[in-house]
Amino acid sequence: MLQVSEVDVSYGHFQVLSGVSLQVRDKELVTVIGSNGAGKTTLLSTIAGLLPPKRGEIRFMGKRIDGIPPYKVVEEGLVLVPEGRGNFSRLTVLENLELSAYTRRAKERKDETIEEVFNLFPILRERMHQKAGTLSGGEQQMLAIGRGLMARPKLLMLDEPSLGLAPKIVLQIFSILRRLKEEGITILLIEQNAHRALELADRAYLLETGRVAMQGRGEELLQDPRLRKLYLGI
Amino acid sequence: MIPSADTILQLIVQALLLGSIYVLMAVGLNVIYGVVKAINWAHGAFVMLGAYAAYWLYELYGISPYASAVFSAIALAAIGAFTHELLMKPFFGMRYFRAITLVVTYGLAILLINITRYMWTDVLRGVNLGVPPATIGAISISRPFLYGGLVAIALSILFYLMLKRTQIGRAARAVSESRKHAMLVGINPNVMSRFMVISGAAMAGVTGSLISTIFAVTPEMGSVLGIKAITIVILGGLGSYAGALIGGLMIGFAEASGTYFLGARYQPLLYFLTLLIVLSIKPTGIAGEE
Repeated sequence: MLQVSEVDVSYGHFQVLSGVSLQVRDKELVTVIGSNGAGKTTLLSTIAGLLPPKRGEIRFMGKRIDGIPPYKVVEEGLVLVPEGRGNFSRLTVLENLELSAYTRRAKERKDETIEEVFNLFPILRERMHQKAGTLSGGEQQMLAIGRGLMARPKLLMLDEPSLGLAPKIVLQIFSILRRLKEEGITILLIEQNAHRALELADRAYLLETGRVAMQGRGEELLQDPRLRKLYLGI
Repeated sequence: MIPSADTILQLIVQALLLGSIYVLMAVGLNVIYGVVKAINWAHGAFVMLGAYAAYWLYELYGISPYASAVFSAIALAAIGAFTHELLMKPFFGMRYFRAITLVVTYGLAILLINITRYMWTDVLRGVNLGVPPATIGAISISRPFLYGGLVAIALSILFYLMLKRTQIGRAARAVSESRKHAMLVGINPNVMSRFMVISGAAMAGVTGSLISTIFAVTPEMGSVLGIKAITIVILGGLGSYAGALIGGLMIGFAEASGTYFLGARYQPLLYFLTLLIVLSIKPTGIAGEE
């Protein structure tokens, strides 16, 4: 479904990603783990069209998408819930959700999707007329995921959805991710919470200083001694 | 001399109506700033062009300024599109975007004002509708103020509802908050900013039509109104709809009462004084966040 091949990305002279290849198949949950500064967010930003790759190519559903602007990538059905959540704080919860069904494909099923999102996150229904900026951290993250779903993604990319949340909320977010996966939504997840991400993932990639250092099935990586020591602290 | 209650009431209504026209002008400037983050210094010059369009169409063909406002809107929309493509878009993403666009649109203002001066000289012109004032109860209101104010109020409300209730309005507000996050929703921010600059310029055109029946139409009004529009949005808060409303009405009041009590000469003094006092208390403007 998504095929990233030999991608290089740099900020000025500073190379952030070198020869990164990765793929996500239909209905898979793939996670990319790695420490801060390994290039995880850069990777997702590049796939979403926010950054141009210097080399390599990105294909989605067989179509080349590197070099096309982010709003066109969204139309293809590839949706990013970015770092920092990307909600519009001056819009209400409902306005955020309605806005996020922006493409024609998503617009056709807007009412139905809003209902699904409210069932997934009942708290958003209670808060629907509140400005997004007044939500708590956990609610903001739920709104961000809800916005992602509003776009009717074929592939949903999530950038550290558990960042900065209380442990209880983190559990809740992961159970939602599990549910989305069971519903057959294809997900590319970036996480610093490596343990939970690996448990959930079908397959995983470890990113170290801009290179893929390891890849395999989630439970394989969980068993790897070096990874356990460096990233899981076991 | 202490004015009578009726005189004061009449003054207030007149000030509200004039203020409403200023609100429309400021809303036009603010919708551009809100999405593009550029202060359009040429906004007053746009209003002036709208006023000249109204004047000539009235003078040559006898078309009422309220009808030709549609033409002013379309003409200025075209100039707005040109301004967006050539004077704003090339600088998107640059570090000193706000400063660059301020200077560039200032240049555009000078250009437009001087072309107008070259073509039509500094002669004071104006649309004299020759209609008697409307009498409502004990007060009488000049009709240009009455009609102009009502049209301005209607358009301001209409545009406000568009921003609040429609998907395109939500998209504009989203781009205003973050171009990056708006793109991730599927919004093309360039399309939105073009749309808003065109809308803002069209509003300036309509403002010009309305004002042509109230003030003298001269090339110089372009710079006077430009400064007035910028004063209003800074007073109210840049990019804020409520700010344009409050600022526009305040300046309307300052002018109307200043003219009555002190004489027209002291008008600028009065509203710069208002600006000074407000900004020293709240530097971001009355309703401003930035």
